[in-house]
Amino acid sequence: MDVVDFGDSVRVGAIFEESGRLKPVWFAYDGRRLAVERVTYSWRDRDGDVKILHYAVKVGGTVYELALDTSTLSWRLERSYVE
Amino acid sequence: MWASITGLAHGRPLLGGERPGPVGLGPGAEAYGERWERVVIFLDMNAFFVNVEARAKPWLRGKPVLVVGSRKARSVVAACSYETRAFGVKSGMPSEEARRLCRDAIVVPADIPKYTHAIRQVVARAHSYTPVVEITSIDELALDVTTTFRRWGTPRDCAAAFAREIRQDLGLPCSLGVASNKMMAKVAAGLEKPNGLTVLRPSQLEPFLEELPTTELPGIGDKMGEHLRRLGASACGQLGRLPLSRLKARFGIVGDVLQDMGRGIDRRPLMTHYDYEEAKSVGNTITLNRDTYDAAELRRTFLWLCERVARRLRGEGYCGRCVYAVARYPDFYTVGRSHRLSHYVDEGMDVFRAAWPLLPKDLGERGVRMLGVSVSMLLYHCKPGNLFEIKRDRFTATLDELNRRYGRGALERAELLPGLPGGLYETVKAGWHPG
Repeated sequence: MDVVDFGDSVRVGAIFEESGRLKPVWFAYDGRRLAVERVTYSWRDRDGDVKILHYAVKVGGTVYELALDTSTLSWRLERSYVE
Repeated sequence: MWASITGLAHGRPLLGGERPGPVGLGPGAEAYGERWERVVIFLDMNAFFVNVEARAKPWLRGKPVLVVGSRKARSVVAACSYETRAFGVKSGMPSEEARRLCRDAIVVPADIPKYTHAIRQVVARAHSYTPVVEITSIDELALDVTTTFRRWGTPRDCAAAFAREIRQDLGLPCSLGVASNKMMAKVAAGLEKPNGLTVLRPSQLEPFLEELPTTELPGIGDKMGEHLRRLGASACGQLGRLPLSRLKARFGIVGDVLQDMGRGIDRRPLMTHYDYEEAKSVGNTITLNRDTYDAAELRRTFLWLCERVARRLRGEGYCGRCVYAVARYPDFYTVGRSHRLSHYVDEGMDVFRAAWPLLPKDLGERGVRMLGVSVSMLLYHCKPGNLFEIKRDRFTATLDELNRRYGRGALERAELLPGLPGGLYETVKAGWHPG
Protein backbone atom coordinates (compact mmCIF):
# COMPACT_ATOMS: atom_id res chain seq x y z
CA MET A 1 0.00 0.00 0.00
CA ASP A 2 1.39 3.37 -0.99
CA VAL A 3 0.80 6.29 1.33
CA VAL A 4 1.29 9.87 0.15
CA ASP A 5 1.09 12.87 2.49
CA PHE A 6 -0.31 16.11 1.08
CA GLY A 7 -1.53 18.70 3.63
CA ASP A 8 -2.79 20.93 0.79
CA SER A 9 -5.87 23.14 0.81
CA VAL A 10 -8.52 21.84 -1.58
CA ARG A 11 -11.93 22.84 -2.88
CA VAL A 12 -14.60 20.38 -1.77
CA GLY A 13 -18.25 20.01 -2.72
CA ALA A 14 -20.26 18.62 0.19
CA ILE A 15 -23.92 18.14 1.01
CA PHE A 16 -25.78 18.15 4.27
CA GLU A 17 -27.78 14.96 4.49
CA GLU A 18 -31.24 14.77 6.03
CA SER A 19 -29.67 13.51 9.24
CA GLY A 20 -27.63 16.72 9.39
CA ARG A 21 -24.43 14.90 8.55
CA LEU A 22 -21.98 16.46 6.18
CA LYS A 23 -20.92 14.33 3.23
CA PRO A 24 -18.20 15.32 0.77
CA VAL A 25 -19.24 14.42 -2.79
CA TRP A 26 -16.32 15.76 -4.84
CA PHE A 27 -13.03 17.53 -4.40
CA ALA A 28 -10.73 19.33 -6.76
CA TYR A 29 -7.08 18.49 -6.73
CA ASP A 30 -4.28 19.01 -9.21
CA GLY A 31 -6.63 20.52 -11.81
CA ARG A 32 -9.03 17.59 -11.64
CA ARG A 33 -12.40 17.22 -10.05
CA LEU A 34 -12.63 13.84 -8.35
CA ALA A 35 -16.07 12.39 -7.63
CA VAL A 36 -16.33 10.63 -4.29
CA GLU A 37 -17.69 7.12 -4.73
CA ARG A 38 -18.12 6.41 -1.05
CA VAL A 39 -17.28 7.87 2.32
CA THR A 40 -15.69 4.84 3.90
CA TYR A 41 -15.15 6.30 7.37
CA SER A 42 -15.39 9.57 9.24
CA TRP A 43 -14.09 10.69 12.60
CA ARG A 44 -13.55 13.77 14.70
CA ASP A 45 -10.45 15.23 16.25
CA ARG A 46 -9.35 18.45 17.90
CA ASP A 47 -6.50 20.78 17.20
CA GLY A 48 -6.52 22.98 20.28
CA ASP A 49 -9.97 24.54 20.48
CA VAL A 50 -10.78 23.71 16.88
CA LYS A 51 -12.87 20.72 15.96
CA ILE A 52 -11.62 18.91 12.85
CA LEU A 53 -13.86 16.56 10.89
CA HIS A 54 -12.04 13.83 8.98
CA TYR A 55 -13.42 11.85 6.05
CA ALA A 56 -11.90 8.82 4.33
CA VAL A 57 -13.31 8.85 0.81
CA LYS A 58 -12.89 6.31 -1.96
CA VAL A 59 -12.11 7.38 -5.51
CA GLY A 60 -11.27 4.45 -7.77
CA GLY A 61 -8.69 2.28 -6.06
CA THR A 62 -7.54 5.12 -3.82
CA VAL A 63 -8.72 6.28 -0.42
CA TYR A 64 -8.15 9.98 0.25
CA GLU A 65 -8.39 11.57 3.66
CA LEU A 66 -10.05 14.99 3.73
CA ALA A 67 -10.17 17.21 6.81
CA LEU A 68 -12.54 20.09 7.49
CA ASP A 69 -11.42 22.81 9.91
CA THR A 70 -14.75 23.79 11.46
CA SER A 71 -13.47 27.19 12.61
CA THR A 72 -12.52 28.37 9.11
CA LEU A 73 -14.64 25.92 7.08
CA SER A 74 -11.55 25.20 5.03
CA TRP A 75 -10.76 21.74 3.64
CA ARG A 76 -7.41 20.04 3.47
CA LEU A 77 -6.36 16.95 1.59
CA GLU A 78 -4.27 15.13 4.15
CA ARG A 79 -3.08 11.95 2.47
CA SER A 80 -3.91 9.18 0.07
CA TYR A 81 -3.66 5.43 0.30
CA VAL A 82 -3.37 3.41 -2.88
CA GLU A 83 -4.23 -0.26 -2.75
CA MET B 1 -31.00 8.23 39.13
CA TRP B 2 -27.54 6.81 39.76
CA ALA B 3 -28.47 5.65 43.21
CA SER B 4 -31.66 4.00 42.04
CA ILE B 5 -29.99 2.16 39.17
CA THR B 6 -26.87 1.03 40.85
CA GLY B 7 -27.78 1.09 44.52
CA LEU B 8 -24.44 2.63 45.10
CA ALA B 9 -25.13 5.26 47.60
CA HIS B 10 -25.73 2.53 50.14
CA GLY B 11 -29.47 3.02 50.14
CA ARG B 12 -29.45 6.79 50.43
CA PRO B 13 -29.56 9.48 47.79
CA LEU B 14 -26.28 11.04 46.73
CA LEU B 15 -25.47 14.23 48.52
CA GLY B 16 -24.67 17.39 46.61
CA GLY B 17 -21.34 17.01 44.86
CA GLU B 18 -20.96 13.42 46.02
CA ARG B 19 -19.84 10.89 43.43
CA PRO B 20 -21.32 7.43 43.22
CA GLY B 21 -19.02 4.90 44.85
CA PRO B 22 -17.70 1.70 43.26
CA VAL B 23 -20.60 -0.15 41.77
CA GLY B 24 -21.88 -3.59 41.02
CA LEU B 25 -21.84 -5.32 44.39
CA GLY B 26 -25.59 -5.28 44.81
CA PRO B 27 -27.93 -8.14 45.60
CA GLY B 28 -27.21 -10.01 42.35
CA ALA B 29 -29.68 -11.46 39.88
CA GLU B 30 -31.45 -14.62 38.77
CA ALA B 31 -30.80 -15.90 35.25
CA TYR B 32 -31.05 -19.34 33.64
CA GLY B 33 -32.49 -20.60 36.93
CA GLU B 34 -29.26 -19.72 38.75
CA ARG B 35 -28.14 -17.07 41.15
CA TRP B 36 -25.60 -14.66 39.65
CA GLU B 37 -23.61 -12.50 42.02
CA ARG B 38 -23.43 -10.00 39.18
CA VAL B 39 -23.96 -10.13 35.44
CA VAL B 40 -20.92 -8.70 33.67
CA ILE B 41 -20.46 -8.42 29.91
CA PHE B 42 -16.87 -8.06 28.73
CA LEU B 43 -16.36 -6.64 25.26
CA ASP B 44 -13.15 -7.23 23.33
CA MET B 45 -12.86 -5.30 20.06
CA ASN B 46 -11.08 -7.84 17.85
CA ALA B 47 -7.91 -6.47 16.23
CA PHE B 48 -9.46 -3.07 16.86
CA PHE B 49 -7.02 -0.70 15.14
CA VAL B 50 -6.79 -3.00 12.13
CA ASN B 51 -10.55 -3.17 11.75
CA VAL B 52 -11.02 0.58 12.07
CA GLU B 53 -8.39 0.98 9.33
CA ALA B 54 -10.22 -1.62 7.24
CA ARG B 55 -13.42 0.43 7.56
CA ALA B 56 -11.59 3.38 6.01
CA LYS B 57 -9.66 1.28 3.47
CA PRO B 58 -11.93 -1.61 2.49
CA TRP B 59 -9.22 -3.47 0.57
CA LEU B 60 -7.46 -4.25 3.86
CA ARG B 61 -10.23 -6.65 4.86
CA GLY B 62 -8.99 -10.23 5.08
CA LYS B 63 -5.37 -9.22 4.37
CA PRO B 64 -2.35 -9.46 6.66
CA VAL B 65 -2.17 -5.97 8.18
CA LEU B 66 0.18 -4.41 10.71
CA VAL B 67 -0.72 -1.13 12.39
CA VAL B 68 2.56 0.40 13.53
CA GLY B 69 3.45 3.48 15.53
CA SER B 70 4.95 5.31 12.59
CA ARG B 71 5.74 4.66 8.96
CA LYS B 72 9.26 6.02 9.07
CA ALA B 73 10.31 5.58 12.64
CA ARG B 74 11.44 2.42 14.31
CA SER B 75 8.39 1.42 16.24
CA VAL B 76 6.36 -1.44 17.61
CA VAL B 77 3.29 -3.22 16.30
CA ALA B 78 0.26 -1.49 17.81
CA ALA B 79 -2.15 -4.05 16.34
CA CYS B 80 -2.07 -6.88 13.84
CA SER B 81 -4.73 -8.71 11.87
CA TYR B 82 -5.50 -12.37 12.53
CA GLU B 83 -3.89 -13.18 9.17
CA THR B 84 -0.50 -12.02 10.47
CA ARG B 85 -0.82 -13.86 13.77
CA ALA B 86 -0.50 -17.15 11.92
CA PHE B 87 3.12 -16.09 11.21
CA GLY B 88 3.84 -15.48 14.88
CA VAL B 89 3.29 -11.73 14.80
CA LYS B 90 2.08 -10.22 18.08
CA SER B 91 1.14 -6.75 19.28
CA GLY B 92 4.04 -5.02 20.98
CA MET B 93 6.65 -6.71 18.81
CA PRO B 94 9.22 -4.44 17.07
CA SER B 95 7.79 -3.65 13.63
CA GLU B 96 11.02 -4.74 11.87
CA GLU B 97 10.68 -8.17 13.41
CA ALA B 98 6.99 -8.39 12.46
CA ARG B 99 7.81 -7.45 8.86
CA ARG B 100 10.48 -10.13 8.80
CA LEU B 101 8.02 -12.75 10.03
CA CYS B 102 5.26 -11.73 7.65
CA ARG B 103 6.79 -10.26 4.50
CA ASP B 104 3.46 -9.75 2.72
CA ALA B 105 1.98 -7.71 5.54
CA ILE B 106 0.49 -4.35 4.63
CA VAL B 107 1.87 -1.74 7.00
CA VAL B 108 -0.47 1.04 8.11
CA PRO B 109 0.63 3.92 10.35
CA ALA B 110 -1.47 4.23 13.50
CA ASP B 111 -3.97 7.08 13.63
CA ILE B 112 -4.99 7.31 17.29
CA PRO B 113 -7.73 10.00 16.88
CA LYS B 114 -9.47 7.63 14.45
CA TYR B 115 -9.49 4.86 17.06
CA THR B 116 -10.49 7.03 20.02
CA HIS B 117 -13.42 8.33 17.95
CA ALA B 118 -14.47 4.72 17.24
CA ILE B 119 -14.21 3.60 20.87
CA ARG B 120 -16.22 6.64 21.97
CA GLN B 121 -19.00 5.45 19.68
CA VAL B 122 -18.80 1.99 21.25
CA VAL B 123 -18.90 3.47 24.78
CA ALA B 124 -21.91 5.62 23.87
CA ARG B 125 -23.77 2.48 22.79
CA ALA B 126 -22.67 0.61 25.93
CA HIS B 127 -24.26 3.33 28.04
CA SER B 128 -27.65 2.50 26.56
CA TYR B 129 -27.33 -0.93 28.20
CA THR B 130 -26.14 0.17 31.64
CA PRO B 131 -24.66 3.23 33.30
CA VAL B 132 -21.99 1.01 34.83
CA VAL B 133 -19.37 0.83 32.10
CA GLU B 134 -15.66 0.40 32.77
CA ILE B 135 -13.28 1.33 29.98
CA THR B 136 -10.50 -1.12 30.72
CA SER B 137 -8.39 -0.16 27.70
CA ILE B 138 -8.75 1.47 24.29
CA ASP B 139 -10.28 -1.73 22.89
CA GLU B 140 -11.95 -3.36 25.89
CA LEU B 141 -15.01 -2.51 27.97
CA ALA B 142 -16.80 -4.17 30.86
CA LEU B 143 -20.52 -3.59 31.49
CA ASP B 144 -22.32 -4.46 34.71
CA VAL B 145 -25.83 -5.30 33.50
CA THR B 146 -27.00 -6.99 36.72
CA THR B 147 -29.97 -4.68 37.07
CA THR B 148 -30.65 -3.96 33.40
CA PHE B 149 -30.18 -7.13 31.29
CA ARG B 150 -33.86 -8.18 31.66
CA ARG B 151 -34.91 -5.45 29.26
CA TRP B 152 -33.41 -7.62 26.52
CA GLY B 153 -34.30 -11.03 28.02
CA THR B 154 -31.43 -13.18 29.24
CA PRO B 155 -27.81 -12.06 29.76
CA ARG B 156 -27.02 -13.68 26.40
CA ASP B 157 -29.82 -11.70 24.68
CA CYS B 158 -28.48 -8.50 26.20
CA ALA B 159 -24.90 -9.20 25.08
CA ALA B 160 -26.07 -10.31 21.62
CA ALA B 161 -28.05 -7.09 21.14
CA PHE B 162 -25.01 -5.04 22.13
CA ALA B 163 -22.72 -7.00 19.79
CA ARG B 164 -25.21 -6.66 16.92
CA GLU B 165 -25.28 -2.91 17.36
CA ILE B 166 -21.51 -2.66 17.22
CA ARG B 167 -21.16 -4.96 14.23
CA GLN B 168 -24.04 -3.47 12.24
CA ASP B 169 -23.88 0.23 13.13
CA LEU B 170 -20.13 0.59 13.43
CA GLY B 171 -19.04 -2.27 11.17
CA LEU B 172 -16.54 -3.52 13.73
CA PRO B 173 -16.11 -7.13 14.85
CA CYS B 174 -16.06 -7.90 18.55
CA SER B 175 -16.08 -10.82 20.96
CA LEU B 176 -18.08 -10.84 24.15
CA GLY B 177 -17.99 -12.84 27.32
CA VAL B 178 -20.70 -12.96 29.96
CA ALA B 179 -20.01 -14.16 33.50
CA SER B 180 -20.65 -13.26 37.09
CA ASN B 181 -17.53 -11.10 37.41
CA LYS B 182 -15.18 -9.08 35.24
CA MET B 183 -12.24 -11.49 35.31
CA MET B 184 -14.27 -14.49 34.18
CA ALA B 185 -16.19 -12.41 31.63
CA LYS B 186 -12.83 -11.38 30.13
CA VAL B 187 -11.68 -14.98 30.01
CA ALA B 188 -14.99 -15.94 28.35
CA ALA B 189 -14.60 -13.16 25.76
CA GLY B 190 -11.23 -14.59 24.77
CA LEU B 191 -12.57 -18.09 24.14
CA GLU B 192 -14.00 -17.41 20.70
CA LYS B 193 -12.39 -14.83 18.46
CA PRO B 194 -13.38 -13.08 16.32
CA ASN B 195 -17.09 -12.36 16.71
CA GLY B 196 -17.75 -14.84 19.50
CA LEU B 197 -20.20 -14.67 22.37
CA THR B 198 -19.61 -16.99 25.32
CA VAL B 199 -21.77 -17.17 28.42
CA LEU B 200 -20.20 -18.72 31.48
CA ARG B 201 -22.89 -19.52 34.01
CA PRO B 202 -21.96 -19.73 37.70
CA SER B 203 -22.67 -23.50 37.71
CA GLN B 204 -20.27 -23.99 34.77
CA LEU B 205 -17.43 -22.19 36.46
CA GLU B 206 -15.97 -25.02 38.52
CA PRO B 207 -15.63 -27.62 35.73
CA PHE B 208 -14.39 -24.90 33.38
CA LEU B 209 -11.65 -23.78 35.76
CA GLU B 210 -10.58 -27.36 36.43
CA GLU B 211 -8.93 -27.54 32.99
CA LEU B 212 -8.15 -23.87 32.31
CA PRO B 213 -4.39 -23.13 32.33
CA THR B 214 -3.54 -20.45 34.91
CA THR B 215 -1.85 -18.38 32.19
CA GLU B 216 -5.26 -17.85 30.59
CA LEU B 217 -6.24 -15.69 33.56
CA PRO B 218 -5.67 -11.97 33.08
CA GLY B 219 -2.60 -10.88 35.01
CA ILE B 220 -0.87 -14.26 35.07
CA GLY B 221 1.90 -14.23 32.50
CA ASP B 222 4.38 -16.90 31.52
CA LYS B 223 6.74 -16.19 34.44
CA MET B 224 4.05 -16.33 37.12
CA GLY B 225 2.57 -19.36 35.36
CA GLU B 226 5.94 -21.08 35.68
CA HIS B 227 6.15 -20.25 39.42
CA LEU B 228 2.65 -21.66 39.89
CA ARG B 229 3.48 -24.77 37.86
CA ARG B 230 6.39 -25.44 40.20
CA LEU B 231 3.93 -25.31 43.08
CA GLY B 232 1.83 -27.91 41.28
CA ALA B 233 -0.78 -25.54 39.88
CA SER B 234 -0.79 -25.58 36.07
CA ALA B 235 -4.57 -25.34 35.92
CA CYS B 236 -6.86 -22.93 37.75
CA GLY B 237 -8.60 -25.76 39.57
CA GLN B 238 -5.27 -26.79 41.13
CA LEU B 239 -4.47 -23.19 41.99
CA GLY B 240 -7.79 -22.76 43.77
CA ARG B 241 -7.09 -25.84 45.89
CA LEU B 242 -3.55 -24.86 46.94
CA PRO B 243 -3.44 -24.08 50.67
CA LEU B 244 -3.52 -20.35 51.27
CA SER B 245 -0.58 -20.63 53.64
CA ARG B 246 1.56 -22.04 50.81
CA LEU B 247 0.56 -19.33 48.39
CA LYS B 248 1.17 -16.63 50.99
CA ALA B 249 4.54 -18.08 51.94
CA ARG B 250 5.59 -17.94 48.28
CA PHE B 251 3.85 -14.76 47.03
CA GLY B 252 3.05 -12.74 50.17
CA ILE B 253 -0.20 -10.78 50.19
CA VAL B 254 -0.79 -11.67 46.53
CA GLY B 255 -1.46 -15.21 47.73
CA ASP B 256 -5.05 -14.34 48.63
CA VAL B 257 -5.68 -12.86 45.21
CA LEU B 258 -4.15 -15.86 43.45
CA GLN B 259 -6.33 -18.31 45.34
CA ASP B 260 -9.43 -16.28 44.48
CA MET B 261 -8.35 -16.17 40.84
CA GLY B 262 -7.97 -19.94 40.78
CA ARG B 263 -11.52 -20.21 42.07
CA GLY B 264 -12.87 -17.71 39.54
CA ILE B 265 -13.62 -15.13 42.23
CA ASP B 266 -13.20 -11.46 41.40
CA ARG B 267 -14.79 -9.08 43.89
CA ARG B 268 -13.53 -5.92 42.24
CA PRO B 269 -16.36 -3.61 41.32
CA LEU B 270 -16.35 -2.07 37.87
CA MET B 271 -14.78 1.36 37.81
CA THR B 272 -16.90 3.87 35.96
CA HIS B 273 -15.36 7.18 35.01
CA TYR B 274 -16.57 8.51 38.36
CA ASP B 275 -14.44 6.05 40.24
CA TYR B 276 -11.04 6.34 38.62
CA GLU B 277 -8.29 6.52 41.12
CA GLU B 278 -6.06 9.51 41.10
CA ALA B 279 -2.89 9.09 39.10
CA LYS B 280 0.12 7.74 40.96
CA SER B 281 2.66 8.90 38.41
CA VAL B 282 2.85 10.68 35.09
CA GLY B 283 5.49 9.67 32.60
CA ASN B 284 6.46 9.33 28.97
CA THR B 285 8.97 7.24 27.07
CA ILE B 286 10.13 7.50 23.49
CA THR B 287 11.74 4.88 21.29
CA LEU B 288 14.09 6.84 19.04
CA ASN B 289 13.89 6.46 15.27
CA ARG B 290 17.42 5.11 15.29
CA ASP B 291 20.09 4.39 17.87
CA THR B 292 21.38 7.86 18.75
CA TYR B 293 24.95 8.73 19.69
CA ASP B 294 24.61 12.52 19.51
CA ALA B 295 24.68 13.75 23.13
CA ALA B 296 23.11 17.12 22.22
CA GLU B 297 20.25 15.42 20.42
CA LEU B 298 19.70 13.09 23.36
CA ARG B 299 19.63 16.04 25.75
CA ARG B 300 17.12 17.86 23.56
CA THR B 301 14.91 14.78 23.23
CA PHE B 302 15.00 14.28 26.99
CA LEU B 303 14.04 17.92 27.58
CA TRP B 304 11.17 17.49 25.12
CA LEU B 305 10.00 14.46 27.12
CA CYS B 306 10.25 16.42 30.38
CA GLU B 307 8.21 19.26 28.87
CA ARG B 308 5.60 16.77 27.78
CA VAL B 309 5.37 15.13 31.19
CA ALA B 310 5.23 18.52 32.94
CA ARG B 311 2.47 19.72 30.62
CA ARG B 312 0.45 16.60 31.42
CA LEU B 313 1.06 17.13 35.14
CA ARG B 314 -0.16 20.72 34.98
CA GLY B 315 -3.05 19.79 32.70
CA GLU B 316 -4.34 17.35 35.29
CA GLY B 317 -3.62 19.66 38.20
CA TYR B 318 -0.71 17.70 39.70
CA CYS B 319 2.79 18.39 40.81
CA GLY B 320 5.23 15.78 42.08
CA ARG B 321 8.52 15.42 43.90
CA CYS B 322 9.97 12.10 42.80
CA VAL B 323 11.53 11.98 39.33
CA TYR B 324 12.61 8.85 37.50
CA ALA B 325 14.78 8.77 34.39
CA VAL B 326 15.37 5.71 32.23
CA ALA B 327 17.48 4.97 29.16
CA ARG B 328 17.83 1.84 27.07
CA TYR B 329 21.00 1.12 25.15
CA PRO B 330 21.01 -0.45 21.66
CA ASP B 331 21.66 -3.87 23.25
CA PHE B 332 18.41 -3.43 25.24
CA TYR B 333 20.32 -3.04 28.51
CA THR B 334 18.22 -0.59 30.51
CA VAL B 335 19.27 1.78 33.27
CA GLY B 336 16.87 3.76 35.43
CA ARG B 337 17.28 5.86 38.57
CA SER B 338 14.93 7.90 40.67
CA HIS B 339 15.47 10.86 42.94
CA ARG B 340 13.28 12.36 45.62
CA LEU B 341 13.30 16.13 45.62
CA SER B 342 12.81 18.39 48.62
CA HIS B 343 10.16 20.36 46.74
CA TYR B 344 7.35 19.75 44.26
CA VAL B 345 7.74 20.44 40.56
CA ASP B 346 5.38 20.82 37.61
CA GLU B 347 7.55 22.71 35.14
CA GLY B 348 9.45 21.04 32.30
CA MET B 349 12.83 22.61 32.99
CA ASP B 350 12.57 21.72 36.69
CA VAL B 351 11.80 18.10 35.83
CA PHE B 352 14.70 18.12 33.37
CA ARG B 353 17.16 19.58 35.86
CA ALA B 354 16.24 16.89 38.37
CA ALA B 355 16.06 13.96 35.96
CA TRP B 356 18.87 14.53 33.44
CA PRO B 357 21.70 14.06 35.99
CA LEU B 358 20.20 10.67 36.90
CA LEU B 359 21.09 9.28 33.49
CA PRO B 360 24.55 7.79 32.87
CA LYS B 361 27.14 10.15 31.45
CA ASP B 362 28.11 7.76 28.65
CA LEU B 363 24.82 7.92 26.75
CA GLY B 364 26.42 9.54 23.71
CA GLU B 365 29.22 6.98 23.59
CA ARG B 366 27.13 3.86 24.03
CA GLY B 367 24.15 5.07 22.03
CA VAL B 368 20.53 5.14 23.11
CA ARG B 369 17.48 3.36 21.83
CA MET B 370 14.85 4.58 24.29
CA LEU B 371 14.50 7.41 26.80
CA GLY B 372 11.88 7.92 29.47
CA VAL B 373 10.98 10.14 32.39
CA SER B 374 8.25 10.05 34.99
CA VAL B 375 7.20 12.03 38.04
CA SER B 376 5.57 10.41 41.07
CA MET B 377 4.66 11.25 44.68
CA LEU B 378 2.01 13.49 43.25
CA LEU B 379 -0.08 16.12 44.94
CA TYR B 380 -3.37 17.16 43.43
CA HIS B 381 -4.48 20.77 43.22
CA CYS B 382 -1.12 21.95 44.34
CA LYS B 383 0.97 24.75 42.96
CA PRO B 384 4.64 24.45 43.79
CA GLY B 385 5.22 27.54 45.86
CA ASN B 386 8.14 29.71 44.95
CA LEU B 387 7.73 33.40 45.47
CA PHE B 388 10.59 34.13 43.12
CA GLU B 389 9.12 32.31 40.17
CA ILE B 390 5.73 33.96 39.89
CA LYS B 391 6.69 35.43 36.54
CA ARG B 392 7.77 32.05 35.25
CA ASP B 393 4.55 30.46 36.48
CA ARG B 394 2.49 33.09 34.68
CA PHE B 395 4.56 32.55 31.57
CA THR B 396 4.03 28.77 31.75
CA ALA B 397 0.30 29.24 32.30
CA THR B 398 0.16 31.46 29.22
CA LEU B 399 2.05 28.87 27.16
CA ASP B 400 -0.33 26.16 28.34
CA GLU B 401 -3.35 28.26 27.44
CA LEU B 402 -1.97 29.02 23.96
CA ASN B 403 -1.15 25.36 23.37
CA ARG B 404 -4.59 24.35 24.59
CA ARG B 405 -6.24 26.84 22.25
CA TYR B 406 -4.09 26.32 19.17
CA GLY B 407 -3.08 22.70 19.61
CA ARG B 408 -0.17 20.96 21.29
CA GLY B 409 3.15 22.09 19.97
CA ALA B 410 1.85 25.50 18.84
CA LEU B 411 4.51 26.99 21.11
CA GLU B 412 7.61 25.13 22.17
CA ARG B 413 10.89 26.05 23.74
CA ALA B 414 13.19 27.31 21.01
CA GLU B 415 15.76 24.83 22.27
CA LEU B 416 13.49 22.06 21.12
CA LEU B 417 13.24 23.30 17.56
CA PRO B 418 15.59 21.47 15.23
CA GLY B 419 18.41 23.52 13.80
CA LEU B 420 18.49 26.12 16.58
CA PRO B 421 21.30 26.42 19.09
CA GLY B 422 20.55 24.97 22.51
CA GLY B 423 19.77 27.29 25.38
CA LEU B 424 17.99 29.94 23.33
CA TYR B 425 14.89 29.67 25.50
CA GLU B 426 16.84 30.65 28.60
CA THR B 427 18.17 33.74 26.81
CA VAL B 428 14.71 34.80 25.72
CA LYS B 429 13.21 34.15 29.14
CA ALA B 430 15.65 36.41 30.98
CA GLY B 431 14.45 39.54 29.21
CA TRP B 432 10.85 38.56 28.80
CA HIS B 433 8.06 40.16 30.85
CA PRO B 434 4.63 38.60 30.63
CA GLY B 435 1.67 40.96 30.56
